[in-house]
Amino acid sequence: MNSATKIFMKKRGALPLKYLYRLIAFFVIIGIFTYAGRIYGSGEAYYKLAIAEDLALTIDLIYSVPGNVVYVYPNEITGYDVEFKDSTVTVYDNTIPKDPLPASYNFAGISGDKLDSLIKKPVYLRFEKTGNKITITGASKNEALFQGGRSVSAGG
Amino acid sequence: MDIKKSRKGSENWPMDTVPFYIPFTIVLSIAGILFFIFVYKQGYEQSVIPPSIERDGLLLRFTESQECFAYYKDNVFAAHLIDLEKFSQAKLDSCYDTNSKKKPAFKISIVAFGSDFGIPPIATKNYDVNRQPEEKPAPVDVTLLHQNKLYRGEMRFEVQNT
Repeated sequence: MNSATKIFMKKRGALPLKYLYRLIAFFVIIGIFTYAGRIYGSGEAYYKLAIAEDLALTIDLIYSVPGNVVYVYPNEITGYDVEFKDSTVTVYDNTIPKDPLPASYNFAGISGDKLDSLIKKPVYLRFEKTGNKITITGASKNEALFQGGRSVSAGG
Repeated sequence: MDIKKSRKGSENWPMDTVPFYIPFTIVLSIAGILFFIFVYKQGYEQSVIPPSIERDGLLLRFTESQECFAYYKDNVFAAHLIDLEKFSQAKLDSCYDTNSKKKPAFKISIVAFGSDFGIPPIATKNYDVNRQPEEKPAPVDVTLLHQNKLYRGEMRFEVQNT
């Protein structure tokens, strides 16, 4: 009996395992499709993408502004983690362990400042540019109410 | 006709065997990807940023940022005053550092009125010189600094990937 024939042979003991694999695959596929249907249907996927685009545009503009800047992104982003890496903003849903459909958008960075940060469970985001370096941190609701959507600029 | 009946042609691809699961998985994956792309395209417009906003925001960098060409010396900064010593390919690559074909790409040329020197145009790393520009936004009036002399000038842009 050649080896090719051997792998197609059915053994009695392997049968329950086979059904288990099939069941797991079934739930994974159904889970992903259900999740995708829910977030696309509710518009959540587009909200995630809009956040990623907004944040990328914010970074593009902050690099264009001369001097030092503090800016608080005025939209609440509870429920999302945000990663800035390799000139890309990626927004993840943090209510599930591994978001299968994160949203991402590119920004144009500068070679003197490589952004690399993952902000977990922020409510608002605070951008601070000093010289040519941007620092991004989570911000409180009070900070957002006081300063949300406005930038404070000072000479560099 | 008995559909359960095994036929000679189907014996190469019986269910519950590896030769069945491999194409089945490939077909299912392709169907899944097509499904996601289709659904995504249906509502994508909701979140699109108007291209001109992104382009105009990025254009500011070339005229107003000290990281690019705006004058900055001894803590003195002037927006719209272009220091021609800084107007080089290396400077542009460092102040607009992206190879993404999704981001606007710029070819920048400067015209100095009443001068006898020429300034060769430069382009961002993601600009494809073999393609025509998609847009030519209105030129921006600037003041040029060249060898301690000031000139009136214009910064002109050709844009791709809008």
